[in-house]
Amino acid sequence: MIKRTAKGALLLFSLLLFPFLARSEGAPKVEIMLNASVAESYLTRDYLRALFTLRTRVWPDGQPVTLYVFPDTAPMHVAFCRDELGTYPYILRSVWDRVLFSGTGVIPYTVESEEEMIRQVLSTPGALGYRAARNDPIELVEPGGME
Amino acid sequence: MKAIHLRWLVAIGSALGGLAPAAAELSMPPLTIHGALAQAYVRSTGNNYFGSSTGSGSRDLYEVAINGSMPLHPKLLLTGQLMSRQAGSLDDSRIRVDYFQLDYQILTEPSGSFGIRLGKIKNPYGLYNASRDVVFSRPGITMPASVYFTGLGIRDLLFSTEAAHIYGSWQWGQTVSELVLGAAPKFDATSIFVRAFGGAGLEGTRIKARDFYVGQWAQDWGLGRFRTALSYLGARLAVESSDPDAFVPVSGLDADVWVASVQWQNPYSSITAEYVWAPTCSHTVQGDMCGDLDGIYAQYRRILKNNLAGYLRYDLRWLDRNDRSGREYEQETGMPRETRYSRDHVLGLDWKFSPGWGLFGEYHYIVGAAQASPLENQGRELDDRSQMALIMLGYRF
Repeated sequence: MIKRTAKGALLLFSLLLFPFLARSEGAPKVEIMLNASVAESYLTRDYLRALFTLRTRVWPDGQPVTLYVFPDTAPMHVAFCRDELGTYPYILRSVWDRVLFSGTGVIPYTVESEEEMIRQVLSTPGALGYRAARNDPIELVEPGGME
Repeated sequence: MKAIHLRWLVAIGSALGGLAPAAAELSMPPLTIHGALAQAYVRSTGNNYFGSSTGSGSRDLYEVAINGSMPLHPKLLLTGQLMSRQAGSLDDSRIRVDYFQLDYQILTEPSGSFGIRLGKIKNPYGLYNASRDVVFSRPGITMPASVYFTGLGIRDLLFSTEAAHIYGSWQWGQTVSELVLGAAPKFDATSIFVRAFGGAGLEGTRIKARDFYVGQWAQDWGLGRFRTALSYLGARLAVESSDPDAFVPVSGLDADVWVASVQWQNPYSSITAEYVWAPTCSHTVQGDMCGDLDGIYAQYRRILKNNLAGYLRYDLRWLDRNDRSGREYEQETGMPRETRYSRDHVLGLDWKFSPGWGLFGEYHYIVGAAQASPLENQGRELDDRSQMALIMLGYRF
């Protein structure tokens, strides 16, 4: 009985865990976009997570961070959450809602199109966003290189 | 209370004046406004919840929140939220300042941050208290009654407090630790008790809260897949009479509330469980009367389609953990034992059918009456079996 329970628990654990690790084929690939005012060297995965979970809102050089994202259900946002942050949109949304309705931070701005994303990131000092990857592997936007 | 608000405003005004040039030089993000509103319809059998829900139903549950945030400096953020909420006899739709705070992030390193908050601040209690009055940011139309004290009337004490908090976070590989510690100066809690219990017996007395402390230690494991938290909220309440010769049967109450939380999140599902333990001591003319209540809930949530999610919750509340069945209470007082516990079985759906819009539905089968408020059921005996159905339409911006 104990063995059967343990096996059941293991199966349940695997079923719950597996989809998190799975990556569907053909999903869009993303690349991070940075405003020219921000040094690329800041961007590590850990720092990206700290920024998008709103634990920090200032770049190491002191300028404010402004984040741009696509809507929660946009395939590009799903891919960004999974590939760059290792999480899923609903988990991120619950963090943002907790921060928004308790006043403990500023949530990202949502944009509807890639054109708007590029325009906002290019024109806002300290901005960070993402778009469909042009090259593989992912490359960062060079300062002033988006024209 | 007004004097304290004014002091905050003066302090914030000075901060604004001093930082304006810095803000202009750094091209700060502008003032951002967000908000949410929701209206519910509630119908029940057995006991009333959120108004006269047993008759033709109640529309006495709605909430409106509007908030703004404005960075004054990259490290200094001013935020505030106005809130109006109606919930039967338990909330009165008055417009209140839900929070209004200055947040100074002193340290902002990639591996961690550290800062202080001053003002009227939401208390970090459990996983959901800080955003409990907006349907989009809580685990259903109703909060789990056991841990978040819905129906008990003292929930106002949990909301937000004029206080000072320090907070910090540290990242260790895939693990993030977050710590918040807060303390509040002595404040007047009389209005909270008048709203909760109708004010009978409180004439000529004031209830002062002192030694008010909050704390939360939260851990994110494995990039947020697993989250744990331990929260504490404690206060000493003192009943003070304007007449020194007045007979005061209860002179004070000491309460410590502990919550342990775990949450496991997957791409399409999550499991959340929280346990509350609250030892209390009342100081009465007959001596100290101590007891402790506890409660626990578990919720399984599953994303069924892109914008549609369903959830199951089992929610248990006991007003005396040493007398979970209420039998001792019944023998000692002659009062019905079912008012001492409740077991709530919840089935819910939420559907975000359009950007900004959400439609929520919830069904409850409740055994016991510990989560039914006596205020909502005046003039009628509490039933030990209830069913409740709620539907709520919400919009956020």
